[in-house]
Amino acid sequence: MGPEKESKGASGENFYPSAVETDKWMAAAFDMAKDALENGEVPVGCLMVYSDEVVGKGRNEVNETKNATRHAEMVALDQLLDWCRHRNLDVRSVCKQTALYVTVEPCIMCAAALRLLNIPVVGYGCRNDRFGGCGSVLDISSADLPQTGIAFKVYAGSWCLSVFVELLFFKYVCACLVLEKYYSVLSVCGCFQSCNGQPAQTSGGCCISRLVLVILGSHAQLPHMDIQ
Amino acid sequence: MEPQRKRWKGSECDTDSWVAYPVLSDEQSQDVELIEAFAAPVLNKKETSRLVRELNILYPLNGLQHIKRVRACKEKGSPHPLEVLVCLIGDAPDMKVTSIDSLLPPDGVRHDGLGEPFVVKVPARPPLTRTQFELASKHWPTSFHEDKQVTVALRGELFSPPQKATMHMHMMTALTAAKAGKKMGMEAVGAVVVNPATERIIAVGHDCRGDNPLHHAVMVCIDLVARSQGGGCYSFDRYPACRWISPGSDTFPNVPDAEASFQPYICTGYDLYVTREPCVMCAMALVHSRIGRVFYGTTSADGALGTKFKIHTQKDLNHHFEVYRGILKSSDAILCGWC
Repeated sequence: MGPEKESKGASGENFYPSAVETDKWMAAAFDMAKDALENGEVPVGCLMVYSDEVVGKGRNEVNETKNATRHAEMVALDQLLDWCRHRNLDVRSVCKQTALYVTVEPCIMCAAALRLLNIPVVGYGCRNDRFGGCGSVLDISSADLPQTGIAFKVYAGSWCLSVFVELLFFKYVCACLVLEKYYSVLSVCGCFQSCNGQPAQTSGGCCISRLVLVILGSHAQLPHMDIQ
Repeated sequence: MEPQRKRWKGSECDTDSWVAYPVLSDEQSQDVELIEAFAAPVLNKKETSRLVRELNILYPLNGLQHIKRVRACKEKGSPHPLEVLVCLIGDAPDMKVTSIDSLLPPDGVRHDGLGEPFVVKVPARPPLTRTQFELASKHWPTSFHEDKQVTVALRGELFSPPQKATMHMHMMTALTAAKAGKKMGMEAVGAVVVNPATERIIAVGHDCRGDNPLHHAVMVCIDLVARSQGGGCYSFDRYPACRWISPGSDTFPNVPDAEASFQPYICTGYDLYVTREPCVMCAMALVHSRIGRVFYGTTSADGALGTKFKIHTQKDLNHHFEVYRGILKSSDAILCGWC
């Protein structure tokens, strides 16, 4: 059950993504979040990965669709369903071996949706104190809900000092404030905590630079929407 | 109250056969929690105000502002007419034998005029409903700031017969949609979104999870509302029972200009009627969509508006709404069979 275990060929209960994989996919999820912000949406992005292949990716599209349920995860789940349909694959068996990587803890709605589709593993960057459904507001991921799919495992991002130092160093106060609003600043994904509690790999510098660019790049057009 | 636009068709709608009850928060629904305290008889009535003043300094009842310090003696013909709350048992000093001397240090409160202490139970929290107030008052006199609407709602009398007739009609529309969905192989759940200001239906939807496991009736309705506002991301065209109206036709001739030009924003201010209690996903989708009120028929096993969670009253969330259950419940047994 260690973090080094590859997801390839893994199945069912002992299906865990490795730390290296996690970093790779999280970086891509940040790109999706950036895309969301550039399009006037709350910056959240995510990827659904099955057998080392991206089978769904999404970013927030609430404003664009005027549908407040169009969170990144819901968009990505729709793509996953389409992917299965086109390949004539059984949704259930694909979902059982699919991991979600998302920049922010899934909200209560998305956590329930992930359960309904039997997604077993979710990795997220930072907590969502306002709507979080994986422990922050409610713990839907592990709640006793026999009619609502299966419980899933959650890997939370942990704060990495190097990220904070780098933030201060560049005096991105503005970025900090925005980050605080959108990502409750001290839990920005710097490194990723693996399942045995050890920091898996520190790639904070890379991640935070990316995020600061995201924030600064479109600071002018921040949407007046709540973080999802 | 809402304008009553629709004619009340009392004979056609059997509105006496069901009652809409509010789904209140846990704090409002729970039993009265009690804590133990020492009380003592006031032997000399003239000393009462002094005793209360001095006891309030020595043993302030912090966080128990709802508790009255003095009560009239319960038993008739008692030699002393009043009893005073001395302190919570948790606040009392350690003592081998409980006596008024050990509770009150000689320099703090002159305890002439007080009898020997005895243990009473007092309500730990202020009562939020009349039921809680009545239960709490049996133990010790308690003040109560009554929310009249909650009291009336708990009696099942919040809605007038004409309002119930309108609710009945909307729930029948949801039931009809549920039936249509079932005919197409979906789960028999239907939902209707209504603008209560105009009593116009904005969207009607039913379960479509044969296409997409997440297309529960509520999620379908939310997207249809988005469609009515020029958004939306799905097509439910092949389901004739799933429909929406554009807000342009949802104008109301007598409302002031400011209101008429109001731009609808997701489900803000709208009512949802759904045949059964929404799941966690749908309940939270309704929070995100800023729904005004939710009315449902029967409960469901993993329901999130009363059964497993009360997401509409969840403290940390930024939007709350009223929920009523039992609409058409007893009159339409078929509703239960479907859920």
